[in-house]
Amino acid sequence: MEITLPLLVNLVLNGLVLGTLYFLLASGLSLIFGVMSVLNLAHGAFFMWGAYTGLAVLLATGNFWLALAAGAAAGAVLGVVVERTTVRFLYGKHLQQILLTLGLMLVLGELVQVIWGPQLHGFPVPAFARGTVFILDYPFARYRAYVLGAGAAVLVLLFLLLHRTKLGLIVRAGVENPDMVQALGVNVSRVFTQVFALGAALAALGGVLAGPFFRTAWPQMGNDLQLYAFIVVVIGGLGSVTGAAVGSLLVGLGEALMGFFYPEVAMAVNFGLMALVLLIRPWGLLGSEADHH
Amino acid sequence: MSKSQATEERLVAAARPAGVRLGWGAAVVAIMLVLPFFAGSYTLAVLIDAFIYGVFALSYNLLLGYTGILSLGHALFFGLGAYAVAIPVVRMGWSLGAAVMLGIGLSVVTALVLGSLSLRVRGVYFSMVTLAFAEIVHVLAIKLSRFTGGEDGITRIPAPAWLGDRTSFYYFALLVLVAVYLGLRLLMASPFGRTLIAIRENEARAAALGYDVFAHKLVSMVLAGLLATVAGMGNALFFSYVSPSLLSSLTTIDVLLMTMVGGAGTLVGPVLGAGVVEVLDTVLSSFFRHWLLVFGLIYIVIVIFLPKGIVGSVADWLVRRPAGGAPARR
Repeated sequence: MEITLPLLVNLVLNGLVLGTLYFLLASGLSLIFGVMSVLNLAHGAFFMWGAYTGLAVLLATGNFWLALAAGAAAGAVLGVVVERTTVRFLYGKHLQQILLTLGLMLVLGELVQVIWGPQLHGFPVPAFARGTVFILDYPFARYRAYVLGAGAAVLVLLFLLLHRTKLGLIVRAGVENPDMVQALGVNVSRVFTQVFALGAALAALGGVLAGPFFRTAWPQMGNDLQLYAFIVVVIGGLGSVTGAAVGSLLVGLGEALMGFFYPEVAMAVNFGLMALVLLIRPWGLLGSEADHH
Repeated sequence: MSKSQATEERLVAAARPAGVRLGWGAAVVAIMLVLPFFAGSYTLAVLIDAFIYGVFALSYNLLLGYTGILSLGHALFFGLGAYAVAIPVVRMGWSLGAAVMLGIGLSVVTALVLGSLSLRVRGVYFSMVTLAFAEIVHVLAIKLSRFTGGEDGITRIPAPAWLGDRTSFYYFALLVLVAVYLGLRLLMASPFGRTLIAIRENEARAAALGYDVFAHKLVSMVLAGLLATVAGMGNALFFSYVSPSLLSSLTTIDVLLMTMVGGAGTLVGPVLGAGVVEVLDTVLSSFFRHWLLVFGLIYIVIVIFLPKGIVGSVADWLVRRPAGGAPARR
């Protein structure tokens, strides 16, 4: 197929939509690691819980905005519970932390199947976002435009939160030097819970947004999407929200372009990207060198 | 993996003469040798599965228990072994011997490439990178269905005639497991093995003493990958079936749990863990529809309350119990 400019624009837009979904997962993963040095393997499970909760609320009320709020809230609550009851006992013990979050991943993933069953659930596109628009004569699902808008809004809000609020200041300082933050008398324990809840809520919000995009919710969606989040943070650098944004864009664009031309091996491009980053900048494009030891 | 644990291992080892320990091992092997005369075919099948996973767990333990690196992508090598037998033999009509050679070659090359990439980062970064690489290969195996059969996998992989009946397979699997166990025992007693443990205990110090940490870790990854490949080949031949789930992170989680349940950093632990998890899996999955839920909870409980696993905890208990008395070092 001939590559034309309108086609390229269309593919780039679709890549941006994918990137938005990856960013919502990867930013929380990255923040949680940056502040608490926890690699949360249950992050995809938060995403999935967001999607299923959102779907349940959408089906019950028919209101997509309510579904978004409920999904994000479910993620935040789940984040608080998980942090308070398990994760907090293992701060500093990296091996046990990874094993613990692996166990949580299994439990939270299986609980979804206990409640909603192992089958796929159709996830309707909200009425106001149905249909397609034409951009340079190429069809583009209207809902995807909304996802792009939501992604931009989250990016701005997250930026404001990190750079204009006290919590953001503490979080940024915590990423830089956690010991110093504690020494200065900040209630680190509370900040840890808040960051964990924030990361989980971002992932869950991504889950609700992803529902109408894939038109389904399925029990492996958490792990399927978490893989992309890992690739994103390896490329962008753990601990950096900007890195997560850049990584998400690269992976989303790569996926959309390769997926169009060589769908069978679209995944291989991520393999190549990761290998390349590990060779030139093992700590990620925007990660800090000191963190990766 | 603390220093005190290493010390305790030595103390426990010193508390009992080597002959006694060897005697126990020989007794267990002897029981396993006569078992086919009493046990039914189904029991043998569960045990063969446990032996195969025992080799897989021993390979994983080389990384986690002895080198101190947590790979979340070890399923890649297990699946590689399985597919390296399945694709050439079923799709291309190769002989099994040729396929095995190809698999071993591929395994070494893959371990060298992925090892030199992923060992550039440490700690949780390493875990994440290995997980991502393995999952990418998992997805590719599903997508490239022309070669791999996609989600359906490849069926009817012929086992050679001498492995045709279950009892022969049982003895062969037992032989491989014992050989791998003894081989690893020798390896860990060698200067190379001692250096791996030094790296696990204190990487900076090992490097300062002049050991090439990267090279040692890389060799450890190649060896572990090779053993996992062998286990994967055994799995493909035993079930005469391969599917992409062999490559999934759940397979790595399985082997990780086996290693942790038995006790990472001990040689008996992973084998015992493989047996325990395999039997639990067989029994519990027939009772519970949501077996993974139980599996995950067991996981969390072990991580929080029994981080040293069965063998590590028993060793602790042996050291602390009064009758054992503060064992003097001979």
